[in-house]
Amino acid sequence: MNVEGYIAGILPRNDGLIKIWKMYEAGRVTEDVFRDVLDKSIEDIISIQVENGFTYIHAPQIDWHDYFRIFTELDGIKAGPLTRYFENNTLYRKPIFEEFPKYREGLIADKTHIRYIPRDVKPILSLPGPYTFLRLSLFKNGVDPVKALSTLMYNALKEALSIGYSKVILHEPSIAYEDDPDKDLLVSLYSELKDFQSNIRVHTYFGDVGKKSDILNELDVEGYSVDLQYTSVESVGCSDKLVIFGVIDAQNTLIEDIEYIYNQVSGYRERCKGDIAISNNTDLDFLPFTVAIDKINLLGNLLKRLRG
Amino acid sequence: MKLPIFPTQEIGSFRKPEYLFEAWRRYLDGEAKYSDILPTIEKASIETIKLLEDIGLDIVWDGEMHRWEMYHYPVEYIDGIEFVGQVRVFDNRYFPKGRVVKKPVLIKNYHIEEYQFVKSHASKPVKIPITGPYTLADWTYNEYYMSRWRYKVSNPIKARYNAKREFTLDLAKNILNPILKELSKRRVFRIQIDEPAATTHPSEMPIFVEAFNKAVEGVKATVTTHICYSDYRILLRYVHDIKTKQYALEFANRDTRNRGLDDDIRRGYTILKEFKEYGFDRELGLGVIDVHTDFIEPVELILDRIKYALKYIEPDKLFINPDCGLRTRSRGIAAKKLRNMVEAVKIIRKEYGYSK
Repeated sequence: MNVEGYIAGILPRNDGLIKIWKMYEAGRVTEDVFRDVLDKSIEDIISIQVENGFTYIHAPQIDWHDYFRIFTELDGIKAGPLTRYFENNTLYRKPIFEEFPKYREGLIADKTHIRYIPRDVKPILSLPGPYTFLRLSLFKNGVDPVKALSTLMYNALKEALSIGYSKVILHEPSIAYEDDPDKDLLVSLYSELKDFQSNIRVHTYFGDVGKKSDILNELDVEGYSVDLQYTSVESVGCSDKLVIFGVIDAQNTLIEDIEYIYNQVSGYRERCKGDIAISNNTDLDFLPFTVAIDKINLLGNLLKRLRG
Repeated sequence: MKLPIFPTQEIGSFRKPEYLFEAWRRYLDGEAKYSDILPTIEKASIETIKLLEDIGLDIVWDGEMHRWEMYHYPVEYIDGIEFVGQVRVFDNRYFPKGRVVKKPVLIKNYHIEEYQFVKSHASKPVKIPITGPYTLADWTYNEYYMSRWRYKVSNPIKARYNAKREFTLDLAKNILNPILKELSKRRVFRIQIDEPAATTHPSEMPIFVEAFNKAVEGVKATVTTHICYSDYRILLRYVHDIKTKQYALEFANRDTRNRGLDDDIRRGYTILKEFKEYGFDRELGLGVIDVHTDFIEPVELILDRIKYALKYIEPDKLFINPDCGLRTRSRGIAAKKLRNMVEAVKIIRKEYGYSK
């Protein structure tokens, strides 16, 4: 039984980067100075993942303001009002689809930093899942949400995999957050992406998915994650798909009890006998940088322990 | 103190002058004590009070010059919560977030001196904004209470809920309530409890309501509340259970900039229909200024927003304010926005036969 480990989602900026970014915005430092600090921050965040021996190395999306902003640079999509991101003190700009979006080839290459990731490791990337993207957007002028999102995400995934990403993590907090997610809509959106089925994983958080395994198992994806801060491990059923356990709590600085998690995950492995993966439950961006680093290292230690 | 119809107010924060930013930076970097920068704070406080009064607001505060920001300030005076680092609010805007490591204890009633100072320099009625217990709890990493609950019950959601409730109620009883009672004794005109986090966890609304009411228990002063960037449908279900006279809410951020009174144009305010259907009977602080853009709302646009709201809210219940604190805008931009707001109110007052 194989155990994979990786971090998923947008990562926090370190204090130095936050400061230089503010200075850059205020016109107090040049773009070159800002870029130097950003580059160093990117390299650091890659190194720590490599040092921890993670199965995949996540793209350092430390310069992303939210999951949708890069897409609002495309023709047809506008960045709308600041809106609360689920139950957090974090706001995102609501995407407004004013027309059917026109995908621009090179968007993913331009907005991620794959060139910084060493060639001998497998890079992965986080993108918004089409269901959550649809739920958190506004559609105007008769734009068909399903068609718009399917086409947009198809193109983004195609580009991501063509430029070297091994897997794409599609973030779908809406599946966990909603009491009764729209199964037909979900299946329909993901069926449009089935060309990439073996390379996409769904990351769920902000809610209990213990009773939603019928939906998750029906999606054309390689695997799905379960946020153990909301879902009891006993309620997670065995699956033909890869189950990724969100064991690291990115919403609390309280450091996890590694022994307790080890026992939780081991219990599932004994019960279901399949491969599993471990990860953080949601974006580490919800934590201060130094705590996020501590938790990344904790995930690395847990991975070593589980691999024996 | 009698207010005119459609009283105008600021929500709380206002951009600090550059010289005060520098003073605060010295304080935050440990190069100066609070007492060292207090004269600079007081200078900015007086300037801001006068600016807001000159603009013509009916109820004023000093733009929170005495505070770095709404979370940082109270946490500095609560033993048991310690700062752990910066966490993003949006884009590259961050706030210093704390973690609770033991039962919180009030070190000092942190609002008395600033209130006395503002009161002594204001000629208009004063409203003091205070960060509420639920928001303080929600914006703090809950280490202490969670460590007591996380392995006690097998359902992780229940563990989180219990930990959050204990923490929030401790803040309401032991931190907020003594502060509010002390202010009440000093006959403060209005106390605004800021609870931007109120509706962020719908399942925790009972905690918010219980803590709010616990915090104001025995408080004689008029208590109002400010909530923003939230789902007001969630709030509506509890709106009559919360012991507040007013809800000051954000709407302009969700609205269009077009003129008119149609629902599609005034889409930021259409929720007010549901307020009426729900029998909303409190004062409403109507957000008519978007604090996240330099766009100066024209007087006519603000008028349309007010007129639309008047379809659903009784005129004697309507207060006019920006969506939220204006600290995100330059002082010049904020002043222009507020001046237009006051101009719009002058026009609507005339239409309602108010001549002063």
